Amino acid sequence: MENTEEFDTVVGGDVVLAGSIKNSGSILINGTVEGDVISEQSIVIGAEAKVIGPVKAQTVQVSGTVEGSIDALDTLEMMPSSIVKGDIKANTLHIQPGASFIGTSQMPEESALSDNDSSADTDTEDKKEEKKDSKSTKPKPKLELENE
Amino acid sequence: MYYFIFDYPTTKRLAELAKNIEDAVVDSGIAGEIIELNPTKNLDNLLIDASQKGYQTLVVVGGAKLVNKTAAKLLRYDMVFGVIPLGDIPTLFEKIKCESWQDAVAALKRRRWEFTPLGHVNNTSIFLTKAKLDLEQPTAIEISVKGFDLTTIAQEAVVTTTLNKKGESLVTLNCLGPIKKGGFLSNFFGAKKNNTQAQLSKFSYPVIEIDSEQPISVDVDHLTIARTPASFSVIPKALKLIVGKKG
Repeated sequence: MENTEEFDTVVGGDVVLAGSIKNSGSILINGTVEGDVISEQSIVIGAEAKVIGPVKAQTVQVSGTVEGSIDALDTLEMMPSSIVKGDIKANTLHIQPGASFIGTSQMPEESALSDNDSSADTDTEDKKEEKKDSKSTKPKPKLELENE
Repeated sequence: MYYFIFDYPTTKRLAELAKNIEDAVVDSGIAGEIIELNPTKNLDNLLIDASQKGYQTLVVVGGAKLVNKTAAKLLRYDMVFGVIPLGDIPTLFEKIKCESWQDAVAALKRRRWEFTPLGHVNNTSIFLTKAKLDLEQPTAIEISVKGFDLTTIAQEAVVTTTLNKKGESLVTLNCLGPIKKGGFLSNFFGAKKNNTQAQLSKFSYPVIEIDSEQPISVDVDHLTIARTPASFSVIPKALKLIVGKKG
């Protein structure tokens, strides 16, 4: 469980929020949000949480469910319990074993070109971690897998 | 030299504490004038008196009620505000970033101040510390901010003012939903704390509106200052508050 004191905005468990949360500070979702979740810093989506709508921030960590696109300007981390149904975009992508992802993934062209070799190396590992429904658009994302 | 207003001590213990504080401020050489509040000495008149005598620092030695009341009235004056909490009042100690009254006296001597925002309820009542909804049992409240409305069951709802990392003054609502009871073993494995964390919602916005089916009192230090529907906003940089080193 994340420490709520570290976040500027927290949506508690059992709370169903319809509308958009746009905040310059960090956001923790433990409940349900039906709408956009946008932060200039970080967004953490807890294990029991569900977001139906686009998610955008510098860093995004998902342990719960997201039905919508995720745009992480820096890092997207999908934890073992996470379920993501939507397109994802991130500079750095961590998909942990057990995470479920249905959608397309994309990363900025410049870093994709420079990391072309490394993404090819991780390609087979990607398939282990991502569900069969997922497909990556070109250029391929840089994936950092954590198998520990 | 500072202008001191001492709250009327309601118990013998507080009277002794007030005497100790008075001795300490006199010893530290910052006591210009010391006035003890009583029914014949009106707070408005004391502030006028301090201002007319040219004092640039006004210090309240008292409880949260007097501190909040003085903070609201000081908006009309250009004076630095000092506080020495009279008694164990965590909200006040937290606000002045001190851990004890001795710390507060030391902070007064250093006179390091910072701008602090004040909370505003329905554009009428003002508070420095925190406002709390008087909820006797879990109750449905409607929260409206720019971007969304939500209805939630709250068993506790507290409004404070905060500064975000960009230095913007915001109203922060901490709202605790009903805690789910865990099993017997949950007490030993920290599940109780986790349940509390999971049920806590926190929203920081320039304006937060709270409504409810039945009017709920909005209290500041056990004094009702408004009822729902209530609109909470913030007066940025409202006060120059003397603070300690903590934080």
